[in-house]
Amino acid sequence: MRGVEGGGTSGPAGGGLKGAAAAEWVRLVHSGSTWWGLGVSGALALGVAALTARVAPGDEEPATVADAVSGTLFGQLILLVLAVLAMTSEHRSGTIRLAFQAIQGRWQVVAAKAAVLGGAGGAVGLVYGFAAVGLGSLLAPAGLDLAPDTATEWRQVASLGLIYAVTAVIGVAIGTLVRTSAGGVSAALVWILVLESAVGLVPRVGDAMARWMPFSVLVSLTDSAKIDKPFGAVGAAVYCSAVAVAVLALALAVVRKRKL
Amino acid sequence: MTEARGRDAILIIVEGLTKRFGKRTAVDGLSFAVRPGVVTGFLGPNGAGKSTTMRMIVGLDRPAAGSVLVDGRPYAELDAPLRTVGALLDAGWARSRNSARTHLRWVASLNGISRERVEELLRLVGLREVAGQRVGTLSLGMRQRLGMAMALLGDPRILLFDEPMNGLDPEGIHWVRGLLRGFAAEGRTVLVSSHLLSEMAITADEVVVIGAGRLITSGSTRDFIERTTRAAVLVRTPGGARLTETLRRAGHQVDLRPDGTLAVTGTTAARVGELAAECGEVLHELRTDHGSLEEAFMRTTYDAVEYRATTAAPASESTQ
Repeated sequence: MRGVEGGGTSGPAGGGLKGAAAAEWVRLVHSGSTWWGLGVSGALALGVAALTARVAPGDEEPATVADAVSGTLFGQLILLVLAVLAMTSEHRSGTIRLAFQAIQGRWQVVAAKAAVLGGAGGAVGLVYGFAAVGLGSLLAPAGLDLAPDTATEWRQVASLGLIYAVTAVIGVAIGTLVRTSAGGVSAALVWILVLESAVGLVPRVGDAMARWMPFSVLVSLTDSAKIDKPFGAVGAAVYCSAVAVAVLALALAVVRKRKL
Repeated sequence: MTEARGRDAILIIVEGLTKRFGKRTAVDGLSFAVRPGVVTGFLGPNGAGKSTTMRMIVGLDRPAAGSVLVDGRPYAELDAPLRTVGALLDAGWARSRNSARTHLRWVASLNGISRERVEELLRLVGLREVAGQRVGTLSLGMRQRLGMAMALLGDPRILLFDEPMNGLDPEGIHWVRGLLRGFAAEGRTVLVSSHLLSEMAITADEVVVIGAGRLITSGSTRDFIERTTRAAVLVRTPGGARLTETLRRAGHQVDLRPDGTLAVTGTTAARVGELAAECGEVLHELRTDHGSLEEAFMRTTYDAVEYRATTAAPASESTQ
């Protein structure tokens, strides 16, 4: 056995946000669902890009960059679910207790998870966005331009990084707040698929509220040429990031207060 | 252990610890200290608050009152806790789809512990062959071994084990006992809860006995047994009637046990031997029965047992 170290004060450090992030990376890399999720969302992103390039649009308008990257939005849903599960599965397996034993300040466990998944998710979103337009332009027949040229088109591709990152952070926050896998995944899917569109049906204020729904604003960064009022593109990006930070802050506050 | 704090430093101090779950008080003003260099058995009937106490020691449950100091500090102030306190509270706390090795790597990375250390422990606990297998496919015994490895990752000076022998075969139990005794011999502080009392009688130098969340006794295992149970001198003789009469005349209490043995209390084996010689009786057996940890435990915790079959009674006779 190694010599006993002085109560953890000497010797290599460890713990805190850094330890929690390192552990989350280990978990992420060694979980099968990470690779399945990456594979399926990658296939969908590229598949839609290929279809966009090859399937003749008939007499409709020609395909755009936004069409080429639209397949990445399936991946966004997958990422949302995986981010929720990243947190809820710790509760189900009991490993959250080991993490809390090792990391002082429980909020750090959640914050590190959000950072790792947000960072990794953002990188994946960027890669898939550019891979989609890359494949699209490669396969596109003469006369169809799927490569980003204008500032708007660059924004439509590059914003996928932000879209994925924000989605991952919100997923982790939901998983932290809800804790059970079924409940967390349902809450996340109801939010993104039902609530955001149903809100428009509310009489009078519905339309105004719909413009503030974070996932709708987020997705408009990639699928709209013009961002609806009250945002410009930068405003939309800032607003969505702020929503993610706020939901995460709520989750961190809750995890600090509540019993295990 | 060669460092500053010697064997005398008390590394776990529990003081006035109280925990309530709703109206039920699970732990009630509990105080005790655990010394390094010995194995301390943590005993109590089901529901006595052993696991809750252990969870509070490592900060998983928040006490309603009272405090715990580990290595002189509250647990929450340890920088990399796994390097100070290694705890196996539930061997089931693992992702069943991860391999044993991945599970250990994950725990290790929480506190910046190296991969080499993970391999070292897989070897130590005898899991190297199955290190690539999913945790979910491991037997209960192998999971316990994995849990032991996890607790040891940070080479901690304080070790907590909640029922570490559960699910182990005799060889595994023997192995755990050796490990625990080895850690104590190295100067570590070892607190281990168990309901296997005959096992604890061999393994634990000291005991902390609790019932209904309160301290019943703490101190040396031997003292506990001697204080709590009555030593009896057991005699087997073909001349039971005459010897009984002689012993009673000498002022000793004699009971005839169902197997024909005489149990003499309030005297020593030497005195019984002398009296037998005086009245010319042949002795086939003469020995002192010190009582068992189980007997001591049953006597002291009987009133504190919360969940009890109505027919249960304290063990009146020892089996040792």
